[in-house]
Amino acid sequence: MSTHPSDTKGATWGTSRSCYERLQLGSSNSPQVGNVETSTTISIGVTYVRKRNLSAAARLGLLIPVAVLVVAGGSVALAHGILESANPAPDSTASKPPRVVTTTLSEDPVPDGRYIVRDGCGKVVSKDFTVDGDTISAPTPDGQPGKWQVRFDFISSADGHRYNETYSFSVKGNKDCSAPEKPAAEDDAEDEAEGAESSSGASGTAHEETGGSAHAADAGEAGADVPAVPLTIASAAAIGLALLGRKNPPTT
Amino acid sequence: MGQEVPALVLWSARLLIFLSHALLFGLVPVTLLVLRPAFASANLATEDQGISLLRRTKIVVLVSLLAGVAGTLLTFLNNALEDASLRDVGLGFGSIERVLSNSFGQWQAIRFPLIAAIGILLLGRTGRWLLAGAGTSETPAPKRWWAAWSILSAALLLTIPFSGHAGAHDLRATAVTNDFSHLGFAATWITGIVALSYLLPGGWGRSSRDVPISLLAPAVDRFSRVAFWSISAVVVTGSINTILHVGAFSPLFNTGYGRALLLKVGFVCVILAFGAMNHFLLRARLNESLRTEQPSHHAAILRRNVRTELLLGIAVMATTSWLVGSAPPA
Repeated sequence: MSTHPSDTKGATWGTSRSCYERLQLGSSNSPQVGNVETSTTISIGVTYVRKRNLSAAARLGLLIPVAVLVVAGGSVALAHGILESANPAPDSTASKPPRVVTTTLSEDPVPDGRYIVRDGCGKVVSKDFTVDGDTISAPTPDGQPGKWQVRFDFISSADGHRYNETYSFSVKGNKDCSAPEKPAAEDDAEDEAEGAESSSGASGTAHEETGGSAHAADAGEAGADVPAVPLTIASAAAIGLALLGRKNPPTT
Repeated sequence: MGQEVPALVLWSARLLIFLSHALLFGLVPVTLLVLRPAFASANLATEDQGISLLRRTKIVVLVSLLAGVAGTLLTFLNNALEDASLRDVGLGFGSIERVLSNSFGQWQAIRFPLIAAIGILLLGRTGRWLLAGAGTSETPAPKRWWAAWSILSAALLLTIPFSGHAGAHDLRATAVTNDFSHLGFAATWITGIVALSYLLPGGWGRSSRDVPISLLAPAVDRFSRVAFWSISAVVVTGSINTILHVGAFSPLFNTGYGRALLLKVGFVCVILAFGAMNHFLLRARLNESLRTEQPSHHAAILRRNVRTELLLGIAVMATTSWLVGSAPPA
């Protein structure tokens, strides 16, 4: 692979040793000469190793991204979600339509986000939702039996990661998708739902109609609660501490 | 489709944060407490070696500071973009304000003044004090400097567990304390590896002629002991982290987080093998070589091992960056 003369292993080591032996013989006890010997011999040794080292490093350089990609090819998602529990539980079957749907996450979400519950007819039944610690809940008064779907999209207040998951559960019974206000109201709801899913504006509608979380959402619109004073004090303290620590020590 | 920082960029940003914070935390104890005494017998003030050491220390400090700022900026920007995307608005002051209103954003934000403060403390000082007693008229770092460094570097490192999974754990105090210890010991170890492979005269990028065994052997001897205890502590605290964040055996194999963790453990095992070779075999050979004033090819083997360990250490950090972005099973 390499045309470098030191790649000829036997010759390299042979040269190295003989150099070393010659210098050693002539060195007597002079530390200066001793240093020269050391330097010369190690120099040859390093040159020898570097040829092999390059290929080892190259192999390692290939191995690392491959290994990471193999793992990444699994189910690791950078924007992760952690559904801790829910009521009704995912993939469960309820005997009647729930009046309230709750979802508990393993990290507290920031209050603003999206929480959409669809009933067996695919209609959005979560007109508002509240966030209490790590639990999101939404009243669902008019849901129809069938396969319900819950979709949430939040940012963790703890580690900044985005939760974005969907789960479903079933409700026993015969669904009646011809609701009273039918076509207009349902169409509106569909529009809202579609809008929410495509990140267009229904989430805003949902926020406006939100009970407990509406305040947080509105507060957020007006200006989030940034602890400006503590952050400024902490920053000033850090810089001040550094300047104090950096002061020149008294000269001796 | 929301606007986001691409996943690979975000992953790189996390890697930059890990590496920079590790170096900013580990550089001072490794250079001033481990390496400096090893230089005591050498006269580095007038040597090319001393100049090289100072220049390289400065480069490591500068690169770490810039990488820390860049990584933090990118993660902060990502959060602001995600907030904007979630609210269907463009990126603006409102999104930044909203990121700053949650604990994650606050821990990110506090990194900037901390990094600036550490920069003020380190630039122009670490190098001078590194050579104190090695043929220069410099006096060792005063206690006040050490006190300021201890507080600032610990605070900087603490921003990682507080803005990560440890900060969101049910056993928050335990998880944060353990993660902080894990990062601190890992930072000490990897900075030592950087010091041996790059900072020392004759390090990466220099002519191999400059490898001085009179510096290498005592430095390796001193660092080897530190590395032994550091890596042991990393293994112990890492195991506790696994219990806290994985909680059971099966998720190690059937979740993405678990598989990434196994990959990380695999890298650490290879590092342990190299470390054991350095600690138990090469260190003694180098000391013997120094004592008898006879040159040894073991120096070259050690340097090769250390460079491989450095690459593996970066691989461990890259895997950790991935873990930070994925969901822990427990």
